[in-house]
Amino acid sequence: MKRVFLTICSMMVFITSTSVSHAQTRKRPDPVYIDATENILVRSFIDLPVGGRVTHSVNVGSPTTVHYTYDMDKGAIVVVWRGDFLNASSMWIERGDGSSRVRGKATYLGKPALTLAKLASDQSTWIADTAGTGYKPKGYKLDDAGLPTFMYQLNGVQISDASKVMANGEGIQRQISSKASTPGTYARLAAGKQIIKLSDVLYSVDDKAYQIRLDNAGAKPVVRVTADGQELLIPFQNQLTYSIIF
Amino acid sequence: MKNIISKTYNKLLPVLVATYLIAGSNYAFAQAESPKEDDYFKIKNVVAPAGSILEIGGLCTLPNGTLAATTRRGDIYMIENPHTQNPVFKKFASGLHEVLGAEYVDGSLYVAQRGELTKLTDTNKDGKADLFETVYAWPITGNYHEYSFGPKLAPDGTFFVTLNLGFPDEWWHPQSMAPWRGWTLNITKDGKVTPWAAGMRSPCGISMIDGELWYTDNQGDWVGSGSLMRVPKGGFMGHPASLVWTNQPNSPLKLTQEQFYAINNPRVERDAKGKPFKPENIVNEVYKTKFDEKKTFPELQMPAVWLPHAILGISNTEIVKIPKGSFGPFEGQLLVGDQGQSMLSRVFLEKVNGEYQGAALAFRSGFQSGVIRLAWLQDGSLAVGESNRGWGSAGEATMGLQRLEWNNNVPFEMKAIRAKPDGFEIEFTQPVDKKSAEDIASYKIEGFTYKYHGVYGSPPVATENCPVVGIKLSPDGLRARLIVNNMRKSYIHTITIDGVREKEHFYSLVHPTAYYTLNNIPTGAKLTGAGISKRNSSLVVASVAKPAVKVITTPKKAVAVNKAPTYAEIQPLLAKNTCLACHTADKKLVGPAYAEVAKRKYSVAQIIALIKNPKPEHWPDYSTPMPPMPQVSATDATKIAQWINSLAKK
Repeated sequence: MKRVFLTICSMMVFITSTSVSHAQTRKRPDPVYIDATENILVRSFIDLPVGGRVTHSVNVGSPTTVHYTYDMDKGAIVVVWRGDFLNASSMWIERGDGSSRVRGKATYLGKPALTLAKLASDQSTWIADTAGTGYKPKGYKLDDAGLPTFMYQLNGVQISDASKVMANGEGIQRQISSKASTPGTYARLAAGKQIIKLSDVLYSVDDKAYQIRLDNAGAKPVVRVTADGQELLIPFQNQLTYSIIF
Repeated sequence: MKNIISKTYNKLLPVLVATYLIAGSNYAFAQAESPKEDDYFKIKNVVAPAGSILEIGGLCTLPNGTLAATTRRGDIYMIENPHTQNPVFKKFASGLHEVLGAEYVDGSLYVAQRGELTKLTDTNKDGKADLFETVYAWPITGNYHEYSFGPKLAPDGTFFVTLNLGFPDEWWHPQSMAPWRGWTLNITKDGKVTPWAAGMRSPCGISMIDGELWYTDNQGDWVGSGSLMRVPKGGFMGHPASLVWTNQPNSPLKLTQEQFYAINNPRVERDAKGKPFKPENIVNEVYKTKFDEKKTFPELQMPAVWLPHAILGISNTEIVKIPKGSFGPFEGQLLVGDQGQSMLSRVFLEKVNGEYQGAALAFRSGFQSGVIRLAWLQDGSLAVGESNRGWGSAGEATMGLQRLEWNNNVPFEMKAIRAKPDGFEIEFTQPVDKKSAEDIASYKIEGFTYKYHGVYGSPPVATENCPVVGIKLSPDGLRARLIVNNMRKSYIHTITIDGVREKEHFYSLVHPTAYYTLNNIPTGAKLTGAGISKRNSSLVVASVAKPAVKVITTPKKAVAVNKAPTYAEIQPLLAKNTCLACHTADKKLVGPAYAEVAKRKYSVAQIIALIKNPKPEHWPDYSTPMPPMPQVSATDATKIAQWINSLAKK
């Protein structure tokens, strides 16, 4: 009887001690943060609330505390944020999972999709993926300040895509250009539930979650209704400058 | 008459025994003095700036002697004068996604990141890369284990990369969850992709040797132990997960996963509640070897040289060839790194019947962390890049950049082992002592193999003795030709030479054990003629010792049934059974310290069962699963278990 009692006791001690000892002996490691004390680029996987894990992504950090992540699979910015740069704990502690997390306050720009696409008309559904576009990421170059200009190929044409943090800290200005133009190409500047025109050059997305400002005169933008909400499109010839203000 | 003989015999016996013991103690005395690895090959640190995080994933020596070092944190350093006391580190690039290799071509550095092959160029010559061109971005799901290795430059100017499988929740069966995971890809400088070979599991050890692509894979399902394999176009390296892509139009391989599983049990097992569990090794079963399987699937590639698990590594990595003029007698041979045991093994390769095979031996242990990458420096020393983050390893550090230097003294070693029609020929680095080298008792040979199955790793199986029945020594004393019985094609032959001594100093071999993978037995004439020694000193002693008089030794301590063995008694068992590759008594290594195991209060029977079929889920903080070890004898396992439990009383 005593033996049974002791066995049960020792089993309970075993069960509790293993779980307790794990908590006691497994010290939570310190987080690994990456700060943007100068212009900095960090590639990592990134998880989006809508769209899942982006696997060919580049996080671009600025000492102005305005940062963004660029998806090289789509030529698109997927998230912008303000504050501290990245938490790389999930990438660099033990095996990790190759991903890092944004810090500060983030504004997600929806499910990743191509920024540029060739459409039959401005009423055609925006393409869901890169099939048929010959999309190929070409990498990026860094200027003397360490800022990247991304490059990709779309429909046989080389596109350059450079984003700069605005000096006043408002957001990010984006410059997309190509040497040649493919007729019927549009840029999708935003997609959301609701897009409201504030002026000829300023549009508000999803109740001021962010704003799109057109910075070079040229083609006329179009707000159109889609199955999921609204989109802001503009025809693209070979140059486009616009800002994401958030 | 009988009385006189037995009286004389009894008088002579102590003399004979004493003579033997004195002669034998010569051996023991010399062995205590015999030089070790450290006396020939020195490990030095490459001094880095304070605070550098050098979890090395890639190494490449540039034509001017600068060492390009890439890290798992995405940095690339150019290290000038890396072989000196004052190397200069310059950061070439950063922010890349886990760079696991580099090649320098025409002024640009090509690297494999998690998701792409990238070409880095410093166009304005300020010492930092400013152009990062995507040569090819391959599909990845973002699974944590989808590492991408390389590139390695082929003679035709194209690149090879190898792609790790992804590990789902059921980690014992990794999967190919995106196109080409588990494959080798050939990629041109313009980004044209040709799928090259499939069947890889964890191909960290991508290597280019004399213009041919090789790699090492790591123990797991379908990989009984690590090994060196050549990677021909259209090859199937053995793991079935990647076969899901052979239906793609550009696949050089037609073998489908359905065809594979039609004759191989995938060992996907679920319990009564339908929950999947890790399949266990079945001790008495009919099993296949990889060699058996090749009869059905000719595209299946055989290891050229097996690296026995926990002896010559647990997670093998890069292979390099020792250049002419480096490392003395070993020039032209191969060195292979290991991430878990933080060591290098040496491989002697030969071709028999047109196929590669050869011997593997331990070469150098003691690196401060897991060895991942190797690169030769201009001074003939070997740069060693290390990291163990995520897995644990031998050594006191989690990362490192070190160098291995030879001090120009020739160690007494087996230089080469060549298969012969009737045995093996051992070539030594220095002439041997004739008496010990011609003594059959100086040699012990066993053959064994591994199972080819969907269980994590394989114990050695079908172990049989291979009697040495004759020895012929070359006149210069450098070669011993052994006539060996019971050689089996495709088996690994463990050749242990404890008794042979070097002629001048009577040193024993620095590494007395070699593992020869006998893929083919050469045809030709068997050894005949004069000069074949059949002397076996162990037989002589046995007949002398037969009479009842006890040989003079310290009487064994009477060990009571409940008294636990001491570490001194247990250490040889732990070494013999390869436990020490991953465990120590009190320190965490690849596996938990035995003192930690003791705290779990397993019964002796439970420990014995766990040695046969380990349960990694008992140790969630440890990343590398323990493979099944049914080959540990019941006697050994019992003693080890008793000793482990005795640690709890401390």
